[in-house]
Amino acid sequence: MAAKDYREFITKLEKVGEVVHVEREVDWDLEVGAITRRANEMGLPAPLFENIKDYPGFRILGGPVANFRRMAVALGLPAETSIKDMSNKYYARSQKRIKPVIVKKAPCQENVVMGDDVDLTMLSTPMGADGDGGRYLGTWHTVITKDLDSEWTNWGSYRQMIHNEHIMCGLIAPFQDAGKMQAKYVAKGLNMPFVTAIGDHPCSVLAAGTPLGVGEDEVELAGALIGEPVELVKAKTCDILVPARAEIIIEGEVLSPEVKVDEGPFAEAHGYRASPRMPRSVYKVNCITFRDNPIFVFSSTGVPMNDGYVTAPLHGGEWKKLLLDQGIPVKDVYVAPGGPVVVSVKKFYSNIANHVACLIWGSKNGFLHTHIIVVDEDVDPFNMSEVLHALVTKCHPLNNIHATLMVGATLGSFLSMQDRTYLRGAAVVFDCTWPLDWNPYTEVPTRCSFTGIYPKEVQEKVLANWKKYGFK
Amino acid sequence: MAKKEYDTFCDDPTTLGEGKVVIAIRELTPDNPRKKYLTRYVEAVISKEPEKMPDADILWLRWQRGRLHPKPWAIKVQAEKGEFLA
Repeated sequence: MAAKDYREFITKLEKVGEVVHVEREVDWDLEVGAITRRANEMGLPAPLFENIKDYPGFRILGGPVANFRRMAVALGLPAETSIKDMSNKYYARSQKRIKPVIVKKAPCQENVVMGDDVDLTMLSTPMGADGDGGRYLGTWHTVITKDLDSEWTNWGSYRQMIHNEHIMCGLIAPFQDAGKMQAKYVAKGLNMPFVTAIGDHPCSVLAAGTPLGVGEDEVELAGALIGEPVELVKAKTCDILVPARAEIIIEGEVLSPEVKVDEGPFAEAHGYRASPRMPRSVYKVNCITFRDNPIFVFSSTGVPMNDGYVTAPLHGGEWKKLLLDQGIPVKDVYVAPGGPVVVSVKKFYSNIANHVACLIWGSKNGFLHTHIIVVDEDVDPFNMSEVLHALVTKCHPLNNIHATLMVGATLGSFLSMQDRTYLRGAAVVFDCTWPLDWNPYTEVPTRCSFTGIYPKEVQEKVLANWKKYGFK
Repeated sequence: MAKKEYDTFCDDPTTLGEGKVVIAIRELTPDNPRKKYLTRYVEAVISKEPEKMPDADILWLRWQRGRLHPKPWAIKVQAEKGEFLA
């Protein structure tokens, strides 16, 4: 059973040795970020900082799900659960969405600050890295916005930087759900209400990052992943329902797109600080509510590993469903952390790799997956050694690598600034499958593996006697 | 009295200009340490030769992707210009 909130999650992490309580005083200005980054890169437990300079009474949790063990615990699974099993569990649960429940009283509103008392610097937001554009309050969080014309409520994950005491800023692209919603408000001369929830549940950001369709509520997916309804409470200053067990809630309005402030640079999800400081959307804050002794949750984005890389493979189930629904003979899909999408197929028609790639690239978040590798069904996509072996041994450098123009990601690190500004991108598919016009007996090379070059009875005999040979 | 320190982001210092400018700066040495890194738009006099403005404060330059220029400029903040870009 998954934890109900971050406090229960931390208790579960303690039981599997995945949290370190840092009681020594640490500085929110770079030190917290540096500790978390190093812990991430070394695969160490999540640091829970309990003594923060300038912020008595506040705590910070860094990298809550920056390794697969912690992600498993967040899903209520044993820490040793394999990535493949986690991905399958994610997919199975995501098919049975659970509607949220509304409560009248909530821990997230134990403390309320409104109007002229609002001061974003009262929160223990780390200065994550030297050279970042500011203190990033939104790095592992959900931004909640409501459609003007319907009951559709979107949970997204849009990074947010503190500009001054009552203004945050960040990128909202017009093609993102929040951008589409904002367009309706702007058309009527209105500011768009928003809520930022920090520390609601580890699975919330996982749900917020899933490419659901227009009109689908991520909170129902979050409930499905947690295994029970998410509790919501009405915000103090707008009609948006917010996660009742969140550590910190920030309420306000997104101002007209004509109003901008500088935002960035920031260590971005792909591991680089690729985009320069640029004019971005303005979030004007009207209210801050928080739990007693709040825990500020943040992700140290950068090179692998971090929380975003860990959640990526779990979305493989979404791609698998998309491809299966279109009749592609998919065996499995793996979204490698910080790496390509790998799809294994039972190939029975030529150019199936391009077909797979076109379907992924043509869907909602497909433009984010610029590198796709398609392998035969005898290659395990979750085994990168096998995948790389297939890449080098089966992918003809001239015939099997197909690049194409694509919608560009605004944060694409290999794109020029000009290309990123105008969303001009590119993508490539690596076809690592044997050609169908090769004779399977005389032309397709024989795979020299335990399962490939020994008769079945010999394999069975060896497996049956494995421990008797002295192997453990 | 210790000099105050600020920074600004700029890929090409020649575009900053010298003398009186409107510029976005971040406060690096505020009295309240919680206010560090907040951005303000100000009218200021700046110079790339700090020795010509000995009573001015320090203005660090950062390239747009965060790296620090090695040599600071000088700045005298004269007026606040509001919260938002014009």
